[in-house]
Amino acid sequence: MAYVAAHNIFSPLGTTSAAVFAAVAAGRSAVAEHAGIFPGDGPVWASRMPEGWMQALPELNGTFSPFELLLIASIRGATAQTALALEAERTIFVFATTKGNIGLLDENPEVSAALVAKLSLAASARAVARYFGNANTPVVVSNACTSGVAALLVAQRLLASGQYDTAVVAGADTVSRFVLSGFQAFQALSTGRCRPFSADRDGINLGEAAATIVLTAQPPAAAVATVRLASGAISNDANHISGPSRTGAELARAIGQALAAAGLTAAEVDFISAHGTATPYNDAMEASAFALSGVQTKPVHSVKGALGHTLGAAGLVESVLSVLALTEGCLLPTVGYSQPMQPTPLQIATAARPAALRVGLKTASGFGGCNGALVFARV
Amino acid sequence: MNSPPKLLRSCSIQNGTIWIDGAEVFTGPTNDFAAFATSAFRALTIDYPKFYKMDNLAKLGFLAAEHLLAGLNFRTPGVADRTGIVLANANSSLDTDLRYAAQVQQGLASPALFVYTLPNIVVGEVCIRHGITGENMLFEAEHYDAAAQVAYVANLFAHNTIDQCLSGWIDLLGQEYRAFFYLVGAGSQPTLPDYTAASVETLFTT
Amino acid sequence: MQDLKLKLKELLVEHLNLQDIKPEDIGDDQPIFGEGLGLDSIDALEIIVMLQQHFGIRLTKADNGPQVLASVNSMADYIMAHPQPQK
Repeated sequence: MAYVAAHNIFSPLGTTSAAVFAAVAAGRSAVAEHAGIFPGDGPVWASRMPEGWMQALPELNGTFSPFELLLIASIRGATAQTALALEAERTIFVFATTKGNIGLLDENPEVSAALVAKLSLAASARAVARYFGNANTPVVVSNACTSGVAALLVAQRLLASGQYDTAVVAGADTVSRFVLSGFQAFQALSTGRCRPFSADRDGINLGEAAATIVLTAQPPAAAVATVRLASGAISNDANHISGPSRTGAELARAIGQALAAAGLTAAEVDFISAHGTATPYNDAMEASAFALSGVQTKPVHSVKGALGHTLGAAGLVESVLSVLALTEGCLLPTVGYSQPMQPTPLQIATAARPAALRVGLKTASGFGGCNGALVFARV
Repeated sequence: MNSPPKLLRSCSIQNGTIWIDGAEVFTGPTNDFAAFATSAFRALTIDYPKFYKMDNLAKLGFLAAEHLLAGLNFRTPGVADRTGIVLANANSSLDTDLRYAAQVQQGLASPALFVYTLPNIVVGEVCIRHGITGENMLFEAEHYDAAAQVAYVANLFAHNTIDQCLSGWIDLLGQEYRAFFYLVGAGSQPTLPDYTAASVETLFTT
Repeated sequence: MQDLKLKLKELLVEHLNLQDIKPEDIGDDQPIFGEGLGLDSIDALEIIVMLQQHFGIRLTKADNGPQVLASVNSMADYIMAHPQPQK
């Protein structure tokens, strides 16, 4: 168990957790039409940071890459108003990302030793941790789209081991031609704003963002509503490296394991923040997994229509929103949802509504067959 | 698990050679990883044509796991889901990333290549081959840190999350490659070393 | 037409890393998915990219992909029916 002491989302929908939560609750979306990838391609729908966003951090521009700036901005956003000792020896930084600085390859540079060094995920992590004065070697998790969820679980474990008191968990990924072209080759991109869990869903929108959750072994001092990360679990489908399992059995097992470790039953789950990428296969698999683990009647939401699929950041962005759902007592809508899918329609809302919420389940799945589930609970 | 976990076996692959528990079991071409990988795969005499679709990092991991896990069967409930894979890597999937980026530069994008532009795919390939469904984690680190890895994996055993674990280091970029895999679990033989940072570090540097 | 079919077979072997298969071993009418050549969903996408790269064909999900890609014959028929300017 670990306590959520601070958090932030730095995204095209806002640069504070509260602003992003309000935007998602209001049904807003940062997914917009952008130029195609290759000459002759149709437009691509994605959620991108506004032009010139890096001007907000002029002192860092030039020293850090856009990917690293996203992380720094988010960590700052989470910790600036707190007394957290980021440079302490008993504070560890845990990062989540799938591709780090891969956007640097978009400009077709000559491959050199210097470029290879810049592309190192661990080196980026070290630079960001050092920026905040922390001398520990940061932990970097790169587990495809489950990275955010996995990083939170890793942080919780590190705190439980007694090695550290505080874990700054931050994740980010950028939208690049490298990644867009790949998902296009997979015919996985939606032709418009994506439609999670809808009968007519046709693919994903990519998004870029950063998010941070600071976990502490001890509960925060302030007597405000606190959320703890009760437990989590990771599994693998052992089926196919890019296609999700048809049964959802392994995600279901991760959900069951996480609930059991938290001492909770499926009935006690109040809502699910799903992976909900809006591909035909992912959403069907997740719905099957929810049915197998007995949570299919619970309110479910996906924010991929609002913020796109932020890859390594997704698990963190969506966990922050889950934490706020719990503290605000508000069930989030699913932007882009159109009609219920068959055979397993889920409880999806198109508008936010207040509700007394105590337990939230966050799920994620990714290339490589990995699945992750986290249980957040109000203290 | 009641008693502390033991270091059961190890497999190392480097410079065209494969070692199991310190003994050389295969040597192949040393000048080209692709040629080494093909000859090492053929020497296994297994029917697994998917091997040829893998990128170099995945091939390296597949070969190391094939040797490390030889004779072991994980495909039973209670075993598959309680077996973990925890690996560390320095260069992510950069070897494939650069090949893919070169394609994109030409206006092409191969999905078969793109799928390997993630460092955890090698973990996925090993899971598929051996039916392993438990906790799987891929960490990025500039250098191999045996102490950090042992602390993390030992913690998983202590919290009863897993009963055995494939762990270690795997990295490949161009013609520089190294796989160091080891298996941790319950072991009754008294000669088996305890799973400690020191015992792992010794194996890694031998 | 025979040249086209042989070329398709050579491209399949090359693009899909079918190491132990020779182009001439692939039957014109042989179903290449399922049992056939052990191809999966990624291979289907790869073939689509291959057809675009070598024949200028842009095949989307709406274009009856599974039928077009079913065999070398069906692919060859589709290419002949949809002449594209070479890149």
